[in-house]
Amino acid sequence: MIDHLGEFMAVGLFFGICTALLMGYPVAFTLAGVSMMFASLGWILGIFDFTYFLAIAPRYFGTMMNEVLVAVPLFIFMGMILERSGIAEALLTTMGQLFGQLRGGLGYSVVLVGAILAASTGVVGATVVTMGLISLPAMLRANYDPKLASGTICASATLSQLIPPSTVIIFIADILQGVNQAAQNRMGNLAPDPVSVGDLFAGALLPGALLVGLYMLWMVFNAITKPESCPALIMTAEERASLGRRAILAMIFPLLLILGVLGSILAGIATATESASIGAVGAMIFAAMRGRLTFDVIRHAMVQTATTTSMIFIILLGASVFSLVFRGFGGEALVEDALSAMPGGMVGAMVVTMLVMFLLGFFLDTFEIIFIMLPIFGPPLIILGWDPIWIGVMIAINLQTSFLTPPFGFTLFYLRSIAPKSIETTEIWRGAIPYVGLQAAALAILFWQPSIATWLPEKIYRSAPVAATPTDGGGIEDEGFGGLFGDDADPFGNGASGEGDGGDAERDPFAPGGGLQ
Amino acid sequence: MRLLAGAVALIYGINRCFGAIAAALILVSVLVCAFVAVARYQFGFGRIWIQEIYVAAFGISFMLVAAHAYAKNAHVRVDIFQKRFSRKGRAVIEIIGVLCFLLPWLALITWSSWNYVGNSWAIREPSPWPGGLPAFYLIKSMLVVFTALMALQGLGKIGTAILVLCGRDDLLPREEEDLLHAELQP
Repeated sequence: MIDHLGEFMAVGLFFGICTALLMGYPVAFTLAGVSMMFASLGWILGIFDFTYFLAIAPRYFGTMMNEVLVAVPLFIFMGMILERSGIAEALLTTMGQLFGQLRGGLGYSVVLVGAILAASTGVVGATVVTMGLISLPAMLRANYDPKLASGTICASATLSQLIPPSTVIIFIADILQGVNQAAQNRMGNLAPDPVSVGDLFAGALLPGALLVGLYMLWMVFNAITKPESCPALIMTAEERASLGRRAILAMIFPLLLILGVLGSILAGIATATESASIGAVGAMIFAAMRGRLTFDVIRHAMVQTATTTSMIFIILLGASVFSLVFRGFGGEALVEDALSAMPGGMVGAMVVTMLVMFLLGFFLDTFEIIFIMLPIFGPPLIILGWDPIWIGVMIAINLQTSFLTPPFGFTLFYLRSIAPKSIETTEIWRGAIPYVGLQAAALAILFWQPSIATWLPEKIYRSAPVAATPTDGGGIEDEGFGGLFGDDADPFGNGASGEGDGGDAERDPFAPGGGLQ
Repeated sequence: MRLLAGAVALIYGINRCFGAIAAALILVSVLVCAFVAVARYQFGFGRIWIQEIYVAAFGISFMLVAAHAYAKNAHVRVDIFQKRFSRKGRAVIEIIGVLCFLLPWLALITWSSWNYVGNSWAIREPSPWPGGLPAFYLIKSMLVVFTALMALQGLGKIGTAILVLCGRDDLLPREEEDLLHAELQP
């Protein structure tokens, strides 16, 4: 009984937090506060050592001085400026007219613009609002089925979560780097290949294209089987005039920006952070060229970026108290044992992880789920034999789905707030369901064919030399954490490391550089 | 009550100032980082300390603005049930949250960073990297500044909650006004 007290506490901590969060107090503070209550209780019972908490200060400072994570505010800033430069409006109008004459054409244009905006602005909320204000009325005027129209808009807007430069992916990469290091060390590989933001961006590119393709196919399917749900647009000669030129003008800058920013990251010329800053300055120049770079726009972008990123980073700080306490109680070993005892071996473990994340997605934010779950679930999955990049991409798609899942999906709320009253909320929900199905299909395809995620990073990074590593405060963080907790977890971890050896034989097919070298 | 409202206004005002500083630091971070990238790839010019400036600018930014973001209710909440609570119910939750969750966490950070920051000050710690910034101890001190601003804002939130409980909506700071009229946005 006493032996397992810590593990009981770990489970209690998890459910305690889930309950406390429902109060509606900010998640970051609740995470930290509840974890501390359990830690204090554990300390009184003599099963938790408070000196663990000395790791908090260096860890927080490490987060402050983490060069990789600076890419997050830079990309958000770039997106905020682009959003105000009217790029989305121009794209949606011209693309809509360009494809509109086809059956289902407005739908294709929304998916396509969604993909382009995902690769440039990357702000889900802004994208869905702009599309809802411009494309939704256009689609309704053209007599589109409201369900199909709203579902397509919501789904296309969520692409920002997956298609690089997605902020979520930057965090996944940064956490996976530490997780992979720890897992590989446990397996005896003391110098594993680093997992970089560039790796994850490259890994997410083809799956992103896969999703865009699936959405397009769904539109084609609708256009063929239910032509009345997405009729072609009737255009005046006036609208048709000079359409080609306007379309090219609207496309050229975003495409150049995407090519420049993503291209330089993927080609290994610049780090993600550096590319992001160039992208941000490029966006400002573009906005200035369109006469939209006012002081107000800059101020708005600065304030919004500061607030949004602070919100995300403070969750990271709060969540790290949780993982510290959870590990202190031996919860990590518990998860590891549970995952490695899953029926179906490594597949079962992955399916369970995905299910838990999906369910948490109903009431937690993407970032919260990543910060809480990835450090705990990541190492066992890697030890069981999954490729870290593949895990990261799977998680990104899974969490992207939570933006779309009725009734709490973010984009559904956003669209509801701006959609005309004539559209029922249930119509928005029902419109999203086929796309949730497409997301599940994408996950299944990726499960069956992991190389969709791992082929490109392998192609790019295993041949080219890695770009110069800049100073990285993250090192401080890893030391503080691994030193304290790596040892502590071991007494419980013996079962899982045995599993790891068994899993090793299986890992070859899709584990680039993951094996022992 | 007037006195309380004055104190609340002062706290919100202080954090508004730090919020503005933090917003400016974002632009610093963008411009310096772009400069570093261009200088490095175009002219082969690189200095560690300039790199550290944009990293630190952002690090300091999110620590300074956190309390102001809390004032503006920008920190994510799970609002499934919250929407159904009355305003006074939410005020009670806010007080409980500050006392049970926020303040203990801040106390923990203070305890943890006490020697960490103190030792750094004692040796006027510079960057661990050759050619780095000379005043790393000042950046580390942001942990303490963060704690202080957050604690202040926590007290400000309790003050606001008391104002709501007493029905004195006319005395609320402007960050809270629009939120009380409009429902929480998802």
